[in-house]
Amino acid sequence: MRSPEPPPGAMEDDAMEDDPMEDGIAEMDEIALPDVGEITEKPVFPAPTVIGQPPSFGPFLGPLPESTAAATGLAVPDTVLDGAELPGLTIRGASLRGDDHHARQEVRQDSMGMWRVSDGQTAAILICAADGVGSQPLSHLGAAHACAALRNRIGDLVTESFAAAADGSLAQLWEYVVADVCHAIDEVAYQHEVDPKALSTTLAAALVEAGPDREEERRYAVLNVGDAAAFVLRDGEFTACLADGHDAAAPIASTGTWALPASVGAVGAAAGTMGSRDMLMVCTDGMSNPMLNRDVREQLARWWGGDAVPGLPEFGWQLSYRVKTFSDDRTAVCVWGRGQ
Amino acid sequence: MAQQILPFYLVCDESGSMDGPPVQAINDSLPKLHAEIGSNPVVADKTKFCLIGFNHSAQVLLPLSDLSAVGSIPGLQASGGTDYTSAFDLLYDTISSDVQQLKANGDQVYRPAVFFLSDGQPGDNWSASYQRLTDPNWPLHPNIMAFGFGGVDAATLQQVATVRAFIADGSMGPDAALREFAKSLTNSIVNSGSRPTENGALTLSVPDNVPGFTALPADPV
Repeated sequence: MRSPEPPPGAMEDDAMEDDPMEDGIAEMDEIALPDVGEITEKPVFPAPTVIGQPPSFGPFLGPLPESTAAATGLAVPDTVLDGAELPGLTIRGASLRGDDHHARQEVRQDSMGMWRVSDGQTAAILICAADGVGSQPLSHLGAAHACAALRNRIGDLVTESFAAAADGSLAQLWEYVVADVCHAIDEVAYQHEVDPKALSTTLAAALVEAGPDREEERRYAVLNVGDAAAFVLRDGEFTACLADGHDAAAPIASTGTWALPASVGAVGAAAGTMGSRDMLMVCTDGMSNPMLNRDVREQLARWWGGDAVPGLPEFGWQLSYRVKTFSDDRTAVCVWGRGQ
Repeated sequence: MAQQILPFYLVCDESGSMDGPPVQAINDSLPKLHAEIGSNPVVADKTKFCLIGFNHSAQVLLPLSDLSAVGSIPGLQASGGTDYTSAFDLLYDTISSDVQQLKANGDQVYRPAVFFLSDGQPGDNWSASYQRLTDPNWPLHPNIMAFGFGGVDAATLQQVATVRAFIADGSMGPDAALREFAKSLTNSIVNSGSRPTENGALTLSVPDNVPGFTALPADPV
């Protein structure tokens, strides 16, 4: 194995002889590092892909947010990228602030999360996407706390969740879980001395069975509240796992949604199995609304339905696709049923 | 490629009583509205604007348009009487054909928003025409905000509005009040087009207060 060239300014070998970390460095030599090569030209970064008619304006960030939410003292980055590679599973997630919020100097109200959870008997990956209700002042906190509270609650229920999916009682279990998540959000509202409605948020989440031995029949269970959505990408086609309130055929589009913690409505529940060629995604409506367009679904399927799973920056770039009039925050967390 | 569209309709009285400063105030304000919306691409992409003028008859002065793509908004010309039936019938037909066209393009259309402005009591029996327009069983029934000054009374405006009515309070002249009306229309379009609802949808942003006007609850016929 070839050792990587030391970077300019690195200590000479003889200067490291007495380094207490020498053993550690020697171990690192065993790791196969990619050969970066020499960068001779300025790299070209492509602009976000435009699907269909372009918006009348180019990508922009605008000034820093100055809304009430931005003054809560909790940083809400414009963009979050996250991912992981586990035995038999690959995860990619991104949450992007939309141009509506860029233009209004408001914070990103979407949130997301990905965790490994285990009750000692069954291990799973939990992925979440939440969309704080636009009109509510602290909904970005509600979205973040909904994801975190779900993770805290569902850790003890992994085996029970998959068992409930098998015996048809998943919806009942999810209602119980969501009630606890609502209670956690209520407590946050109490701490901030605001009405719980101020933290209103939608939520979609999926438990995906972990472990490399499940590649061809990996169980998953999904839930949603409101119009946060879940899809399976299989054989180049996205299939919605749950109802999310969208009705493309309706003459007038709907403007309302159920939301935690005050107006939950029916908790969506679904379960199934995924294979190594499949991908499961949870997302906010900033993703599912433009996906009502066939062109968008087909482009995403081309990116995400092939053999190669995108790298983290590539995934974030892909999610930043632009479609005229769709300028809400956009969040998607995807799990591919195969390792890298 | 489907888009999200919120259509706005300004239905404006151009009867003879509007002649002089009132109609001039509206005509002076329309270019400002055009400039502000047309130069705000985040809003202009998602909203469309239609101008209907009415007196004893009604006509579409500007078909439903992307304000960033039109050269100018035609002005009003005051003459004739005040007939609400013709305005509501034309509005019904225009919304029907506009939404049909947008849906044919595959667009997601949000509930049309109407700003109705009048300065006089109608001389006709308009209730049947109005009820057809606002029938909850008609899927395209619009949200209506009614503004009035001069000879129109508060009860009539409340009956026309489905969301909120505003009547001039006399604290400023008709031309100044109408400039405030135009500002509230512009602000409503900007807020509606750039602040999606909880599910990323577009809906009418209703002003709480408009300087020079008193807000009244809607009381549809």
